[in-house]
Amino acid sequence: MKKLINAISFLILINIIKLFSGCGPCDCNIAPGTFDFTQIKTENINNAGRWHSITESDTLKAAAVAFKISVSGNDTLLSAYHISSFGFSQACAFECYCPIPFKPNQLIEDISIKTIYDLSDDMPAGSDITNFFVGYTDNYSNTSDKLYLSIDEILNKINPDMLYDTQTVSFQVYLKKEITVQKAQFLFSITLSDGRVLSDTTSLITIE
Amino acid sequence: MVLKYRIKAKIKYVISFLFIIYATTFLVNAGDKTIKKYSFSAYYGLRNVKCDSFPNSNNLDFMNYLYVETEYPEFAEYDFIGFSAHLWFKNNWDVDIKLAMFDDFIPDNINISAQYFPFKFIGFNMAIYGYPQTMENFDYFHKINEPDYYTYADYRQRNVYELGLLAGPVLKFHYRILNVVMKLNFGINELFPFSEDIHQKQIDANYRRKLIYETNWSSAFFFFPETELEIDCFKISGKTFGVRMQSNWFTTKRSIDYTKTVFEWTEDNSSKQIVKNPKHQFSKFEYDFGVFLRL
Repeated sequence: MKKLINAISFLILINIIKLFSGCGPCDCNIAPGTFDFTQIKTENINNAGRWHSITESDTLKAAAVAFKISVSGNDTLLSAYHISSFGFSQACAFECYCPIPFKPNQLIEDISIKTIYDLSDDMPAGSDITNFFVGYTDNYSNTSDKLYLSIDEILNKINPDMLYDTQTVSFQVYLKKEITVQKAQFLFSITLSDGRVLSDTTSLITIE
Repeated sequence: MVLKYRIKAKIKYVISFLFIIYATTFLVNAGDKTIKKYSFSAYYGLRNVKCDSFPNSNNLDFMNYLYVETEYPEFAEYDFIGFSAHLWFKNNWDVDIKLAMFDDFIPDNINISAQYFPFKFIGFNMAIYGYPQTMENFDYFHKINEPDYYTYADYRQRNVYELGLLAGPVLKFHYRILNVVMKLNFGINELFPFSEDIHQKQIDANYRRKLIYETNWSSAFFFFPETELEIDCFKISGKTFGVRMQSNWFTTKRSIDYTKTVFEWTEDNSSKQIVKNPKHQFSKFEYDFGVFLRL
């Protein structure tokens, strides 16, 4: 009986120690998942004001034509799991949250933007107008009135070492020229390091 | 940048304070052989500033944005408290150290002078003189002149600092309980350079640009007469207590020139322009009242 009491006391003591010593930094030692880029999506940006915002509207200002391009994998986002421990749960004031790391199997090597309609003498239908765009990336975004990046600079910054809780890489592009026609539409093509090209066409834009 | 300025100012404070303590202690202890007498004083003062303001031209003129009280012009632009030490040496040299501070408690208003009196009443004064002043809302130039842009400045207010050397004749006389010192100073000072960024985005357009203003060292001659009056009130154990009043007038004509770099769209697309602005007539009038202890 005495041995049983000692054993139970010892187990309780161990769990009490674990209870209070468990509140440390989260041990997020999770192996990264890999994925292939398979999808591309374009969204319109309203950049008429000081700050840009994604818009459902297909009407953009003539000198404020801008888009957000997202390149992603097929799998849906996996939810994070909580660290569990044997015995009592940790007596912490927070839950341990470990973001799932993802590593893409491909690099984004090239961005190409073509106009579907005539926009001006130097932007005829079908021409590559990539050089008329500038933009931002996820890790260099317009949070403090920064100047833009050129497309080459976007390509240098766009490939992350690791993504967390997402399989999506996105960037924004802004047209430097003012469009003088009433309608515009663009074809975005992303060339990956495995030779595949992902393409998407924007909606038909009404120029205001 | 503000933090960097404040840290530098606090370092100046520590150095200045230690210098006063060391110099006074050293000389006093070295002392009976060196110093006849010395005094310490504390005072409160006001500073009125006047500066020409010119209409906006094509280029920003920072002198138009020096802080001048316009809503209540009868009020002084700055008030300050100050501490000073005056040492009378046996070989006809006097040293005067004055440090004053605004409500930020940074003693960056300095006046460290040495006077030599080959004659009883007339001598020669040399000094280092420095003071800060506030400049603010210079982004309004762009907001007024370029209404089709959103305009943002990293900082809309800053202190600009002038430091100079001066010299001139000094007159002093003593009559019973009155002590008067009058200095007629001429000097040259430098405005410390600074840099300001303005960010702009065109309304209803993607166009963005960044303007960087980098000012140059800017010299100007100044005229700076000073008058100080002390009245001995009472003595205790050989120490004299009294009141003091001081006033000075500072006038100069200066401009703030700069190099303007404009970045359009991206950081690698820039152009530079050197801008020389017209000179503004600038003056300030100070007066302060305080108490002193002479030993």
